[in-house]
Amino acid sequence: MNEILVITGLPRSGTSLMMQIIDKAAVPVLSDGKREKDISNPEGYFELEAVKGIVQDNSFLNDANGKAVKIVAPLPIYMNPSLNYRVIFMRRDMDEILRSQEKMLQKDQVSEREKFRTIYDFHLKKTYRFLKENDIPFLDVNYKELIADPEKQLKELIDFCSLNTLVEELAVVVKPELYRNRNEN
Amino acid sequence: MAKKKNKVLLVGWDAADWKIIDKMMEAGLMPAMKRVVENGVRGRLATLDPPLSPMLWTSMATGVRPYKHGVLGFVEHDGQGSVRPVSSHSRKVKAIWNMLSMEGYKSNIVGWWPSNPVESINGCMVSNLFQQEKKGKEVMDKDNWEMPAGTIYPDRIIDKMMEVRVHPHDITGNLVMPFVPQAIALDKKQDKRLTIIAKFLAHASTIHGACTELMETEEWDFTAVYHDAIDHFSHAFMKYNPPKMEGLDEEAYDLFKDVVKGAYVFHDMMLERLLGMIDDDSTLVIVSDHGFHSDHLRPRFVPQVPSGPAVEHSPYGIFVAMGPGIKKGARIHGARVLDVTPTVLSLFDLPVGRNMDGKVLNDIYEVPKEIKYIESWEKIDKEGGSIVIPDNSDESSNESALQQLIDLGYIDDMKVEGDPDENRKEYLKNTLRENNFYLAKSYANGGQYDEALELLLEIENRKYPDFRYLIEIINCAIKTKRFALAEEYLTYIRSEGLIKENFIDVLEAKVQIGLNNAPQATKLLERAKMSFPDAPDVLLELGKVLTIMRDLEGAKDCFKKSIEIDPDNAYAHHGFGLAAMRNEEYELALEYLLNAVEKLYHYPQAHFHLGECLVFMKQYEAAIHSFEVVANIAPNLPKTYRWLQDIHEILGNEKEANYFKLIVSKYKLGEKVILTGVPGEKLQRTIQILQEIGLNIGGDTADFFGEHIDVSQPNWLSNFSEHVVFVPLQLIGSISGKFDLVFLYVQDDVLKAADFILQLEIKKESVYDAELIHALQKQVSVIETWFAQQPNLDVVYLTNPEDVHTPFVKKYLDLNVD
Repeated sequence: MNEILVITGLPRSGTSLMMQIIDKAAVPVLSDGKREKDISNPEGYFELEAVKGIVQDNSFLNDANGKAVKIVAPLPIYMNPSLNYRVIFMRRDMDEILRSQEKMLQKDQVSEREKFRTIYDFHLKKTYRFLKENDIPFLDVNYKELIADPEKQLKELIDFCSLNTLVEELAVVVKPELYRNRNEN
Repeated sequence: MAKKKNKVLLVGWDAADWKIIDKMMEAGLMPAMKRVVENGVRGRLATLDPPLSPMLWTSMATGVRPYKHGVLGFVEHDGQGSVRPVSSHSRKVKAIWNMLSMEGYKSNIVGWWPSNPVESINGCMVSNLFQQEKKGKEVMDKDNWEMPAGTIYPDRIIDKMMEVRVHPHDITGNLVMPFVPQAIALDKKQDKRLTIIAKFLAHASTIHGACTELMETEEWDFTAVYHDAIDHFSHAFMKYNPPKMEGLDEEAYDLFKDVVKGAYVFHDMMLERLLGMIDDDSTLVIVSDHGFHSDHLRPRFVPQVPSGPAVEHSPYGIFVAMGPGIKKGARIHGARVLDVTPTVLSLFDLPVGRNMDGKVLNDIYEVPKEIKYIESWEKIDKEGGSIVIPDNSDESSNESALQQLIDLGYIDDMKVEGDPDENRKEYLKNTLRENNFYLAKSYANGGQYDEALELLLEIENRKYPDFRYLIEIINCAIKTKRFALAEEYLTYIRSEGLIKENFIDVLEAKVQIGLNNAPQATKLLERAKMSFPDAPDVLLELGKVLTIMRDLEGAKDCFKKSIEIDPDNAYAHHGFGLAAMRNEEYELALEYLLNAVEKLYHYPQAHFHLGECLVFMKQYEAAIHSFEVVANIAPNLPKTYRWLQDIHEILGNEKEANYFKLIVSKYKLGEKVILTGVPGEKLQRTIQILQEIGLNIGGDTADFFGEHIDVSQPNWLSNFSEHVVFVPLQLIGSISGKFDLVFLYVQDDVLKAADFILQLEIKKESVYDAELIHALQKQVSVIETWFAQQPNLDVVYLTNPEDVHTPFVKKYLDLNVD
């Protein structure tokens, strides 16, 4: 792979799960392990501290060809557009995301749900606009469908990233018990 | 390049207002201004929102809105963890003086806000800190009066500029007497108001001195001078201006009632001097960035929030131009702050940037000019001047300028208790937050509601609720049809008691209108009106909702009352005109719609309805003009092009009709046949027959009252894949103009329909009474008027359900039956 593989999506939309899958596929992952695993992400977050400073400094991407990095939406808009990327965009039902975030932050934000829903809509739109304007290829992966039908989703992923691995090898990463806060309705 | 003979003098008087100037000219107190007006063109200059002077004067000098030029308030981050008065470092685009420098013209720029540090232009610059007599918080002596860094360009003129300065201590009691005749009886040391007058006079004299000195001693093509004195005098003394405001102290009124008048006389005297310095080949332009309420519209109190004093500003400044090739004694309409730079460029026959938000005021010319355009002045690689000192601050001059802004009430002072570092950080954070609020307001003012909303949601903080932010969020949410978001904020505001209940009712009513719930909106607004019978917002909103409800006489009463309170309110004139038009009183409607566009030219809805009104009066040529104005200022309204197509078809202009047909097709979301009608047995039978012959009808054909369609969703009709869609009668007006439509309208007897409704027991609460019949009659009358007032609409009237079998009806249906 001659590009930087970027995993994006809103926080709590399955970006860490996708990082595990990518790790399993033997793609080198840019991660410093500073954010430790916790009950919200028992397998770890696969994050890089430098991503938080991407607005001021995106140079950590300069030597990232062939590697994967997690950059939550809308931060990809600060990526250097002259580099080559391939992006996996994790999507999840907004109500599930909001509930999952509230649970993780142990905060009741029900009275601000529409506010955050709107902010996240803007973040998604901005990120998609950046990808389209810069002709960056991306693949939408729906978290719910990934859990429900891992084989189909993983096959698309393998094709999109030209991964040298088998669907079955990656499917073991997708553990249905991680699919918390399911939107029963 | 050869210099043009014609020079241009641009004079800026912050907050100058026609209401005062006209009275003064009539009384013979502004003879210089009167001469200019009689020999030139005059008009009102519409301001921008927010009406804050540094943002407006930068728009004036660049032709773009604040979200493009970057000057976002009175103060800015100094890059070192603190704030400083807004400077030229914030400006992200070229100003008129840069453009003229690039083309080889010489300029004198004096006192423009903000222009410190000055730029190395082709000519001379004297910044807005030039007149400052304070160093830090101390007033410097006249003999030891330093010049702040970055004030003058080039260095060679520093000495002569220092010579012309007038120190406030030079302003003696005698000089203040024309403003306050009884000044001698007041203790100058005790009454700060006299000191303030002396200071404003000294500042204005200093700027005037610098301007005249440069005009006299330097070669120039363009001189621009900015005076803040009328704004400052007005903020401090307009409350004493006649007529006397209720509750004002009698003694204070007698003492200071002539101050504002004196300020205008003083400016007229300065103008007289300038007129004596230009010849007949020169063009003079006088502008103000906004007006100032001087009558019953003066606010009774100024809100204690940042930039609170801006509530005293009125939305129209002044525009006057006099010179060769410019009309004499004429009036122009529709000028905006944004149009000044494009117009100055046209005076020099220079091109206008297509990225500019303003336009050339071509109506000022006896013979309209052919306007030249370039993509953007930013892309031209020529030397236009750069800021003479790097982006660091002279703390002492910043502090004095900051103090000036605090004194004027535009910004809050920093807290002094507690940890100074923490205070500074908090102050900076709040300043940046406030500037982002102004940025959001600028986006909203430019119609970029998504951008505004995104920013507002980021800066809104429930720990420090600010009602201004919350109101703006709700307004943007309504504009972008995010009603759930608006409701969430309304619930929050109500629960915290952050705004008066009646004002919340007005906001809630706007949401209800968006949700197509006009009865609930009316209820809320009627409640608000009980408490504030004269509030323009309440009257306007109530007028709008009554128009929707087709209580057209009630609507007209609301708008009329609003016009009585403020005859300049373009929205009230538009509202009245629309209500009259819906009532088919076209002559009356025309009068008010013309008033609306005269008062506010950049008002696409008013031009649009004016165009419709003219069509109904069969004045097709005039209607074409109105719709072309709409197409120019709001090109994304598809219905405009439908009207233009329709009118040209009527006039037999085949080529034009085809042209607009093509545009319509670009906007078109699709073609639909809408089945609708009086909710009765005939309609039910028609639906049944059509279904029997195998027609797929979209929508809920049992839902005669539109309870299952969410018309608040944009382009809701697109949700139906079928070509034929059943839409209940009361929702017809919500159909987007982006569809090509054919209506199958089933007519029925209203009395029979009322019986049918009661039999269906859908309206269980209804009893046979006049109310239901009246409601149905009204609905039928509304829809038939609506049909008559739409462009490019085919309506097939069905009186008998069996008529669907006739070839004529089948012609329409066959197109859509597989």
